[in-house]
Amino acid sequence: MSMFDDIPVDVGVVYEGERIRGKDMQFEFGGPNVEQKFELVQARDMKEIEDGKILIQGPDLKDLEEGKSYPLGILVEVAGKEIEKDLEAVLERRIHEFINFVEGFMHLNQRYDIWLRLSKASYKKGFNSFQFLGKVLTRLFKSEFPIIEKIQVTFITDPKKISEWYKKALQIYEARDARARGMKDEDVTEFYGCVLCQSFAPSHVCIISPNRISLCGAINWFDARAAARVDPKGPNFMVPKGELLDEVHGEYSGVNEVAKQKSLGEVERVWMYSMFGYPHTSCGCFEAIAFYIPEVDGIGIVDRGYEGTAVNGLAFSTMANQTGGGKQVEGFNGIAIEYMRSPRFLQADGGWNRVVWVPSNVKERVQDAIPEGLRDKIATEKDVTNTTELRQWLKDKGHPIVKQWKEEVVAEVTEAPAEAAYPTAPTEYTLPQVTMPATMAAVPGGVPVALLQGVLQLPGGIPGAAPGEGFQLIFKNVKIKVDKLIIKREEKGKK
Amino acid sequence: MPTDDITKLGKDILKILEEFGELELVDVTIEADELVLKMAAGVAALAPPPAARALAPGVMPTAVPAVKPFQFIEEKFKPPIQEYPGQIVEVQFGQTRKEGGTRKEIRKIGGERVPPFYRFEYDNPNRPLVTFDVFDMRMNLPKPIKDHFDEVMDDPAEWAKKAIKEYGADLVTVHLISTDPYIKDTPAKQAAKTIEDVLQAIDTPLLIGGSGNPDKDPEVLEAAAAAAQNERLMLNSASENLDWKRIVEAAKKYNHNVLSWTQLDVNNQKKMNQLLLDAGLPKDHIVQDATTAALGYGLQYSFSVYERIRMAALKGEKDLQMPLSSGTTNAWGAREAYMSDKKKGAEWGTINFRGPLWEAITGLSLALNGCDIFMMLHPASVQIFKTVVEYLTSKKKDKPSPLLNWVTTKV
Amino acid sequence: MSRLKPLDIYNLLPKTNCKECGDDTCMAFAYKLINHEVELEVCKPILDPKNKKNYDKLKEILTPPVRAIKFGEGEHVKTIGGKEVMRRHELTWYNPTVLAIDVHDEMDESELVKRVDLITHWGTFYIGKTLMLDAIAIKCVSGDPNKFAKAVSTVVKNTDWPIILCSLKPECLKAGIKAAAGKKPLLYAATKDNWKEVGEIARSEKLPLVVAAPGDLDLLKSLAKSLYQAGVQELALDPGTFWGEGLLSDTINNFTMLRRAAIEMDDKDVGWPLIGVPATIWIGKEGVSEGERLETAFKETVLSAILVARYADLLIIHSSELWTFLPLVVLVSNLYEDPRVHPAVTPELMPIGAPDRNSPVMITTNFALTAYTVKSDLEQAKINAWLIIMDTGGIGVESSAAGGQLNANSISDALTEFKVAEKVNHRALIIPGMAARFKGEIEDLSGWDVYVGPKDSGAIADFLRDKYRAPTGLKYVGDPGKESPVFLATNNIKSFYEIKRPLLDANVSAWLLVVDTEGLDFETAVKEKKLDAEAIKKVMQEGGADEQITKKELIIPPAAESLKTSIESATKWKVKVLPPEKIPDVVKK
Repeated sequence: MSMFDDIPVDVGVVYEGERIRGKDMQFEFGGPNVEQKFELVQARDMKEIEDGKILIQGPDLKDLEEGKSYPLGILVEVAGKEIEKDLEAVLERRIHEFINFVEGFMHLNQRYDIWLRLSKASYKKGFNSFQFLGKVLTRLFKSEFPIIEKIQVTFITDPKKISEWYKKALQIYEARDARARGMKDEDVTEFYGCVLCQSFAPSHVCIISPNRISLCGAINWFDARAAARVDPKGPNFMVPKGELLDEVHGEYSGVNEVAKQKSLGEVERVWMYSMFGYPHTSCGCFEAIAFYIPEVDGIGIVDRGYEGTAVNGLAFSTMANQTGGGKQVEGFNGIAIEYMRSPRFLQADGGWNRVVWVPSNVKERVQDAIPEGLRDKIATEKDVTNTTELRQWLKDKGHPIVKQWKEEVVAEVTEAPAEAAYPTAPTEYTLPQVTMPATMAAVPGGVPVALLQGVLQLPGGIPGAAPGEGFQLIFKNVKIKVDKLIIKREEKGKK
Repeated sequence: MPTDDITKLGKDILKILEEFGELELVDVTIEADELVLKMAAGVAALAPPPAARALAPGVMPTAVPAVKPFQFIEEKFKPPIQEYPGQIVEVQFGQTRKEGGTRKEIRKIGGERVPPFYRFEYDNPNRPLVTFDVFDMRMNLPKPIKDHFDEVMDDPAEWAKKAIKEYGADLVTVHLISTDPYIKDTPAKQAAKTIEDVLQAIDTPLLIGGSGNPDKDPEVLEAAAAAAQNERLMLNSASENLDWKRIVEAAKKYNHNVLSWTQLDVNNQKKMNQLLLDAGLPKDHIVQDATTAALGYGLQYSFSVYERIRMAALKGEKDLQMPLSSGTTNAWGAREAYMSDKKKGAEWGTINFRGPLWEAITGLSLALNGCDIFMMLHPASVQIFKTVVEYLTSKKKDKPSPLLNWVTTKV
Repeated sequence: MSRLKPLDIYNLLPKTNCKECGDDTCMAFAYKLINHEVELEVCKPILDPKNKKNYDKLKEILTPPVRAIKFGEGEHVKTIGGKEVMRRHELTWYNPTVLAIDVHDEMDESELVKRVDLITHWGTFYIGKTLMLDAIAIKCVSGDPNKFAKAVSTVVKNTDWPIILCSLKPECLKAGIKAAAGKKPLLYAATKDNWKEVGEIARSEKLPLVVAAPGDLDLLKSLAKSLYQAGVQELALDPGTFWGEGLLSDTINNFTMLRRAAIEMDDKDVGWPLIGVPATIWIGKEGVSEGERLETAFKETVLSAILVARYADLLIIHSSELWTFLPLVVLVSNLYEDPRVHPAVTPELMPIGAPDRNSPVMITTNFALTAYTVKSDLEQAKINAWLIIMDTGGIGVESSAAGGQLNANSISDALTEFKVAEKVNHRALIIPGMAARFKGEIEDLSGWDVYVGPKDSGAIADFLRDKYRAPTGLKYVGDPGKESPVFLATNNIKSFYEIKRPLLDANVSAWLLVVDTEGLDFETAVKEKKLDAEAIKKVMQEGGADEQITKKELIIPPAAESLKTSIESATKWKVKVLPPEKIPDVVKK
């Protein structure tokens, strides 16, 4: 890139994946051999920083000893009209990428885990000062984020100063996390939309709120907010909440308006916290699918990486076909795994109390988000393999969903079906239909409730009935329509 | 039914049974306040046990419909006319003397209000156009094409003239291939001269293509733009892999159109268009090229991307409401188009028809999905393409033959 | 996205999970129904009379807005229609356009048999399968029922393929049906003049029937409705295939209107498959010159293609040129590909051109479009290379890099899976530009050296020419110390690995002094003086060779032998000449 002509080494995307081996490294910063290291972006007032200034607190590269590991703090301070605290994390995440673009400079991880190495070759080429790194960061940040009006970069290598900063940094990270965790949809006036994957699903738009992360899992409310600021014409944009129309289901007038617009009329209403009624649409890049299991009136979750069929006999890919495409499909919803941690997770449908099956690896991942009393009651693929087993399992474990199941009902014999309009032509069926226990036993897995509808249950023969004795079927208010009625003469003597 | 009647019915039934053994009644309705069936134990019918995993579909005993008479039911077919909130902008190529240019003819594309050729709703104002591909140096083209242009391939001006005069091209695209640093590295200035020469030689508007080299193209297109000031050319193309800002600046300064090029992605196309608009290029100076994949090599992706862009535009998606362009020449990259008769004639038929068919079908498929301008190479494909377009857009109508005669046509 | 929703279907099924249908759950079966992958009647419990209401409702819901009809028998049954959406990107187009080629009853027998043979045996290999034509349309040109019956007999004797009986005379159709006993032909056609008689035949024989009303949609709708009400269960519509100025416009307008009316306006009367007859272009072309014949065939091919793109479910075509069949079957195959499925090609190690043990190794995804494009770009640039097409589930480079299917592990695995190491001498892997960030990790996992190629495969030729070179300077293998041997190499890939490979294989540690010879191999570099003592000295100095290495002996290949003295003089190092094949002997010591 021509904007790096004054840098002794090359800068470009092609260097992003470089690794520097121990033998080739001039210096190492952070990493497993060093306790204190951090990188931090801080939003400042315009007056507080000087644009383009690069400070080095402690020894510079040329002052260091070859082959050794050092603690390091990277502080990037930004200011601008559109800059605010919530954008810090979003910008911070880019330090990794930007430093990697430098030929011979490797950066791994983030926050207080960073690990950097500078190669001997690059050092020999002249990359002997943090000034160069500072310049690269300054230019890349500014070109990528025009909302940054001023940027100042400080490299801290003085161990005492790092200690002070390190403590502060840890507190700042924690405060951010706490804020993200604690933030609720009611705390903000706007959500953000994302149409990044409209190429695949033209009528899809993700509505991202503090309690509902994008279904691809990559963009949370803060990210979307930052992106909308940075590139208002881009795929992320602000969605004013408007009026709260339904608290339980999460319906907002502003959201409805935007959904209608962005889907070119295909979607008119969205329920943010439900997978029935007007569920949020999905594109194709969701991390997981929340699916309704009618046999137990519960909800299952299956993730993209899950191999084989979920408890309902369907693979992720099969369900994904019907879940995606930008249409609202009741009972099948694309979600991010992180959404399972949200306090609003499927709120209108019962939240965790409705969840009955989750793959074991996902369960482990979101373990702490599952209410303690439910953890053992939610099945995984290690516990059950089909809905019949699941049903039993839920009963055994006393999952709250069991209380919702309807009572099993036996059809009444004296009620006549309103219509019995079946022709007698080539048929295996005679009227009325009677199912004997032999057939019932042939149905694997026992008798599901539904089978009992409208079928006469007769044990083998009629208890207590003597041969020759029978029973009567009395039909009231009957209208029988047949297309053909054949009356045959019975041969005498034949039976 | 009164009891007497039932008795009579019963007697009649018995009588018939005695004679025939079986009585069949059709369309019977039995109504009763009460109907009693007596079942004896052990006689109750058993449903047969379900066959183990029978996967062949069973038969639902369907009622055999009563034989009804053939009666003519007169119906009127209602044309399914719809409304579209969006419209495509009209883009002009070339400027006449009055407008400050030197073209004797100008061309227009776009302006659609309804999907392509939905003439039952509305007659879209402009028809699809063909621009002939011309190169600024002799190229190794497939034989059928070379045969037609061999004598003029060393002179782009003559080549362009021939394309228009003899083969009916609506416009010409001059591809400045020789400017590629790896080919001849022709300086931009010289390329600009070539453009001037071609402009002198023809009366119709012109499109300019670079060599595809992202470092050289901006410079070349800038020079061409300046040399062709006020001729309202199209600069091919602006895309994310080169410094498109320079091309936009040149287009704004000298009033040219710009081809907005992306690769088979609706979102990216929208994004690219937005970048151009934000940079100040007027909407009616933009034409979209979403990339044409040849028949057999991904045509279906182009087919659907073009269709989606056009339909979204008509449904109101503002940033896609520009006309569409197709590099239909890409069809010649298909083996089925260029492989010689010696190699593949016995399997695929002669290249004389095969090649042009490949190009024509690729182009027409996209025309049916909203594409407005087509870069093509072979005279036969151009000819059939234009014929079809004429047939599809003409306000006149040939006299139809009695169509059902095809059954008895002895061919 | 289907108009059919899983829960809606599920709620009408028996919900017993009895597994009789072969699926574990009714929900799974519901999915299959939505995708039109299975017939409802495979579910036995739904056929129980007590479920008739649900059965009927399901039948109604599952019936697509453009109904499907079938003709032909046994393994050659063809289904046409069954369309759910107008535009393929809205879901997919089911039931590819059936291509029927015509024969007629005034051909002499041998001619007829020959043509039937051509139609039924022609095929072309395309992406892993053979594409063929589909059906034969038998025309009654003579008007004579006996002649027609004879022709039909001949056809059915020579093929099991599905047939279409074409005549406007009821008696001819009757004779044809008799001759085709058991074949379930499609009948063409009922018109305003004969619809009652022909309708009667179709109804009693239970055969599907085309309704033809050229250019008159009111009549077409009326006839279709009348026939259906009278009990003809399977219909298809021929609105007339006109060719000519303004006429072609009418044709596609009619096809479009009928399709839209059925799907978007719920007009059930016209919810039937559409029949195109490009063969109409031959009216009046009996006995034309060869030139005009070929021209007409050319036009018919184009007309057919237009109709495939605009909703024709079946075409009756006359031309039988190879170049007629080829583009049409490919077009149908392309447009009827399910857009929801990532089109993938089989992962493999594909040789491009005539690669040898020194040819570059490149890797890309098995997204069909990527694989084609890369392959084509390489072929056009006349590059000989090994192209690894790896399994990313059919997803392209950018998406799979983001989505995780393309990662350092999967790339390393691909190298192992396809035994690439056995095919080449070098250990250089070129990865797509978009996968740059995996470079280091791939090197760690696989032991190969990774070169980051361009983002766009079109730039590969330039990349290979200018950038595909080994990194220069004082490099190493393993973990060499001050006494480890030092080998000379150039940054030409072949030369570089001539030295490095034996060292890797022997699993030893050694230094490599790599000189920038602008990619020239040893011989050429020496000849053109890109490799000389000065260049070698420079690299030594920049790399700090004197400080890091105490055993000051440089091992060079015979190709550089002429430089021995000058190197010794310039660097004060000893020089040993060693053929690369002998490297293993030296390092073993």
